[in-house]
Amino acid sequence: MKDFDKIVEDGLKMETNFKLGLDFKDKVVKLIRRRERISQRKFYFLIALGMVAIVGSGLAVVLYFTDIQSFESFKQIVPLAVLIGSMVAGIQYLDKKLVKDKMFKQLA
Amino acid sequence: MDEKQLVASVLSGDDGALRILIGKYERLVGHMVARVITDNMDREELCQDVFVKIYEKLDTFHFDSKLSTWIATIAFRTAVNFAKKKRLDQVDFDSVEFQIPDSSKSYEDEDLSRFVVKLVDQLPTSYKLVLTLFYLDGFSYPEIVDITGMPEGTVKNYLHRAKNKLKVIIEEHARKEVELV
Repeated sequence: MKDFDKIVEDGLKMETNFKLGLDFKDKVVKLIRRRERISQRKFYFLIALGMVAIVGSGLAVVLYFTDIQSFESFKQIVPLAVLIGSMVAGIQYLDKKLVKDKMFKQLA
Repeated sequence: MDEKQLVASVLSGDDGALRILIGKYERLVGHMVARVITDNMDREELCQDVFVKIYEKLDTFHFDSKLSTWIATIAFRTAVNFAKKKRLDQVDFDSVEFQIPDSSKSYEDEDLSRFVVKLVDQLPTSYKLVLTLFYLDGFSYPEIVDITGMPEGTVKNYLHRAKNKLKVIIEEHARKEVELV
């Protein structure tokens, strides 16, 4: 008389015939690092774009409200626009790292 | 290296530690994925997706459960979502029409166990995964509850119903064999 409980349990404990390749670990590590590099590039691109936008808008504001007659006086206001732009970008970056990331982690 | 050290090393960007983590859990992830998908290329791709998700979420894991339970949860959700997306799971348990092999052949016990595997493949995804978690990966009821999000009663019911159904089919098949002899 066959022990059907045992036969069923043996079947349920039987390994599947699927085996991942020996290079599977390397493939996953490569994939993860490639995705990280892409997302890092995207991040830096967005930062650069943001900086250009902020400095550009800083310049536009200064140019709109001041009467720039010569290239020399224009050169004088550029560092001010860069400083304002950098400060705004820095504040945004710190806000993301110190406040928003923690907030999202808590929500997750 | 214990699991806390391993996780810390992976998070610090150590590729070697990441390979160890993948090696340690590829069998578990492979079981879950292989139960849902039949194509080996798709299986490997889905296993990769599971490990990418594990890596991306690893900083949110705070050892509130065992690492294996947490990894199985991600593998379970990924496999179930894949089955839904590909519409692999169109039938419920009661309407499964099992394809039974030729009963004129005589089967040894080991062949019958292989026959069980073929029957399991025909079950709805959630049944297959619960059976795999319990029998193949050795998770306890509370762990399966954590992994699947199902109530403990449902998990026990799935295991009981599936096992009984398989046993009935196997018994019937063996009886037909005897009648033919």
